[in-house]
Amino acid sequence: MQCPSFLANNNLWVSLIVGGIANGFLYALIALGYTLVYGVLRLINFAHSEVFMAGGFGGLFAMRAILGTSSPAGFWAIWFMIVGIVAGAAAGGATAFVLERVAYRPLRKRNAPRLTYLISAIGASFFLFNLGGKEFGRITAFIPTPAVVQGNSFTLCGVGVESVWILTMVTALVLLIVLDTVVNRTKLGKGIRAVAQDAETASLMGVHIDRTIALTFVLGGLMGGAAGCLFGVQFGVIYTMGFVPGLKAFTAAVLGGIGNIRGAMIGGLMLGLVENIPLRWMSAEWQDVVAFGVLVALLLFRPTGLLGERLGREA
Amino acid sequence: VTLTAPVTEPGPGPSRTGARARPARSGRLQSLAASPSLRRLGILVAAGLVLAVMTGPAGTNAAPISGFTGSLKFPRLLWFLGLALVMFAIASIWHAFGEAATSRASRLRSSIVKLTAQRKVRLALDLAILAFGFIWVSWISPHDTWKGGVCIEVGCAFAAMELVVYLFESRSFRLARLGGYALVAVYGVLAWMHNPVSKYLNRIGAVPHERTLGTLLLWIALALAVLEGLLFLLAVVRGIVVPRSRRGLVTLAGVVLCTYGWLMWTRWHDWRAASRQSVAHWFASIHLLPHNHSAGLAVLAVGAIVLLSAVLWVGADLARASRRSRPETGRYEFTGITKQAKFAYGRTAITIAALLVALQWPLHMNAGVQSILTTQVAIYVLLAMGLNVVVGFAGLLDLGYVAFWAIGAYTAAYFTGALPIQPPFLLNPFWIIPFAIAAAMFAGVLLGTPTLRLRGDYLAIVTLGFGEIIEIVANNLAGVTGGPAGTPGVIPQFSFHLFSVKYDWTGTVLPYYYLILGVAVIFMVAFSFLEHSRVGRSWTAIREDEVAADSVGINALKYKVMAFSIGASTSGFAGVFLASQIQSLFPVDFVVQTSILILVFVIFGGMGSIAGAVIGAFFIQWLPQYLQLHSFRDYQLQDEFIYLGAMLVLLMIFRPQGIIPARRRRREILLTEEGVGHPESPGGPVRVTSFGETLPSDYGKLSLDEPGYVGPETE
Repeated sequence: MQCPSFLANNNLWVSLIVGGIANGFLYALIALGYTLVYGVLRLINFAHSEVFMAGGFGGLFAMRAILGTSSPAGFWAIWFMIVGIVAGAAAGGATAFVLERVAYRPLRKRNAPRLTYLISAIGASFFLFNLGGKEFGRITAFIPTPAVVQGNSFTLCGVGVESVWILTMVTALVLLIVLDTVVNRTKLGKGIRAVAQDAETASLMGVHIDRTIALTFVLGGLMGGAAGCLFGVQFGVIYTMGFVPGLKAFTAAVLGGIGNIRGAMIGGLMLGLVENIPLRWMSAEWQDVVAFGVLVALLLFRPTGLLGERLGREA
Repeated sequence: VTLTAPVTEPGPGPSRTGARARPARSGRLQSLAASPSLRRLGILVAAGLVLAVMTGPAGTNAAPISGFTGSLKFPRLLWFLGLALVMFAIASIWHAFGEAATSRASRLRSSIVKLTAQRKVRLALDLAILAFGFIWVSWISPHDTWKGGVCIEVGCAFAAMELVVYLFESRSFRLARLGGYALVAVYGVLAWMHNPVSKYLNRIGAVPHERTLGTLLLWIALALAVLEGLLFLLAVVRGIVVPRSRRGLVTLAGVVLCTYGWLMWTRWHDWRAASRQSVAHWFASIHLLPHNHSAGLAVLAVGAIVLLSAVLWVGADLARASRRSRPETGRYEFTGITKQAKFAYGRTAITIAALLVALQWPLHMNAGVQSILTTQVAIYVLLAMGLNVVVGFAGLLDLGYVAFWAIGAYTAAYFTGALPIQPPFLLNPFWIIPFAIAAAMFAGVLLGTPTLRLRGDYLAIVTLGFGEIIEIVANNLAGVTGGPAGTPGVIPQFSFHLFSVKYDWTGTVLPYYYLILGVAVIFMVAFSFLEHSRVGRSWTAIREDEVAADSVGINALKYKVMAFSIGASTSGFAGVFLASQIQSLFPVDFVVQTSILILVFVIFGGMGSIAGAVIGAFFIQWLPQYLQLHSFRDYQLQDEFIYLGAMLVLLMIFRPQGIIPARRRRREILLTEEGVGHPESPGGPVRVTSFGETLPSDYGKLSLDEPGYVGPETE
């Protein structure tokens, strides 16, 4: 592969950028959950990081059940990965569905104040991840992966590009396209956009609000769960895994303009790059600080994000 | 000079005396509560029980602090009961006079009204009881000289009675009262001259705590006599009348001062010795209850008694509050007890009771529990009170609250030289408190000024990120904080040496507990004043509708930053305690989970309710520790968050206002559920609800008659 001249002989740059893009896709997937829920409810779903965690555990258990200790090689083994991702997505979607039912809907029925939702979501988040810790153990578990997903797949400018990164990018791209289609082309998507624009009118037009909101949660949960599985393949699965990626994905959602679906995708990619590039000069522990610094700066200077809030709200 | 001083309470104030103002429509319970004799009997029985408990059996376990060796003997109990009877009788007679003298007519014409036949009968009955009590006491009490003994006992009785009169009586006959004081003073002096108190008490073989008690009562009587005389002189000479409500406070303060002054006086040597360790240690040594493990029962008993007295007291006050004067007829109308009155009196009484229990409790526990009470409960109570200002009063969801705690703690570590970087000067943690408060407050302002412009949920995220950043910094900046391995140096405990006062709390826990308790009480009072001040009202306005608040000239940002930095400084303050108590800091102490935990305290108790925050913190911190101490099933401390998380969700669904709700907050929630409020405010409604299916479950709960309702008409 031809290497751009400014990257030649600069391995660190390449690995940072590629790694950043791979992480960025993950953030984009999670950020979609925040953005979708924000779009319809105007609320930040604090418990979304636990949807992500549920996806990780879903993937872990599916892969363990299928693979056990074996590690099939060869390209066809990628199908095992896909099964894992689907399982993760299913777990995430189910968690999000339950979450909406338990922590949001009763409050919605009562027309509760905004603060109440936030607290309820925080409570649900704590309940879920500590329950995960109690039930699944408090140590990091590693998802058994087919051999094809481990190690470098090819070399780019002298840097080994890990195949799991490729997998992440491809999966994320597919899911993002699917979601974009769902939101923009299908009846469900039209319902979501209608609720986001004006729930009252939408209900008059025959949109079933409760169902739409629940499905919005599920959609976000599917994305988050798949991301959880992809994350788990790289870094392992533990009950606290959701917190930091969740916060970063929220940053990504804000970066792209919360409520704006394509914005969340772009925001995720940007955040992945923005937090990775400074690693050229500082050690990896400070990566999170950079991300949160971006968040704070962003909220201060441009809280509507780069692309502006959308999904219903005009201008 | 007429001895009838000016009327203390101008206007037709409510009378507390039963007979005249007995309401026409009073329920049975209310008339019971209003009955002065019953009230007084209840109080005196309670007092007798307290005395009995105070002389309770000493435990076999070695007391943590030396001092108490008493035993409960049958005659002593009778002695005290007799004393209580005497007190009761005298108080009743007193009351009869007071009643006669202070009827409406007398207040208008400044003259004494004749006793009615009914009152005469009661007076006679009271006199009989008095005589009986005297005989009883002189028969039971093992004294040998009649004069000295009776002097002391009458003095004691008067003193105790005076306390009762002061606390529970609204108007007594001044002249008679003054005479009574003179009598007490004369008796006291006589007793002192003829038979010095200590000598007499020694002769009757009183055990130390009885001596303490007897002498204490005498001193209180003397102090009250002096105080009343001064107030009386003031009224006669300068025409200044201290209102009754203030006088109660003055008296209470006087009694407390006298008590502690006396205790200090008689235990001066102990105090000198104890002060080398700490003041709190000394305070702990003068407590009047036995301390041992089996004394948990005694604590419970005292708590129950205090509560009983509080209930009686409250009942009386409620009865008073339930009457309203009708100026046009000069009569009283029974209106029924208002909810506000119930709340106000109930809260006061329970607060006092809780405080007493909090004072005594740790003394009866072993060192491990004392340590838990200090580091796991008391500090968190302080934190919850601070966060309550931010979340409860101003409605700002701060999820990085622990960061300020960490800042306070690491400031303490820095100035004690426990960090790898060395400070310009070394200080004891005690002197670092102002620095830590300043540092946390500065951080609060620094973070708050830009971020508080944002809407509520953004603020939550930013503070969450901030909390995370602080933890990461503490973990990774090993050159400054020592990293995950903790601070390299040991943070000393509180000590300082100033002239003759020496503190050294090394190796102790209880002094911290008492210091935090004191600080918590101060904060409680301060925050409650703050809540009802202009600032507090501004917070309420911002919380309910920031746009509207802005439009009436409230600088929302200013007040939000104020709330934020007040919370932060409370947290920083608590940080110093943590640092000097656990002596070594680890970043893991300051994880974001802890912020959520403190948030749970506030929400569980009831946002905006100070008592709620305190009780929430106490309950949620103590219960898991208790379960673990008693190895309840296989309860694990780390599972706590599962239950807490579930509890948060359930609370939000079923009782969003918390266990002890702040009334205004509760009303706000109901209003919001009716759709009132600005959607962008933290307390405002969320736009999307389900339409056409169900009405909000609490629909119609809020009545438009509720005072201050300003929302739109909902037909």
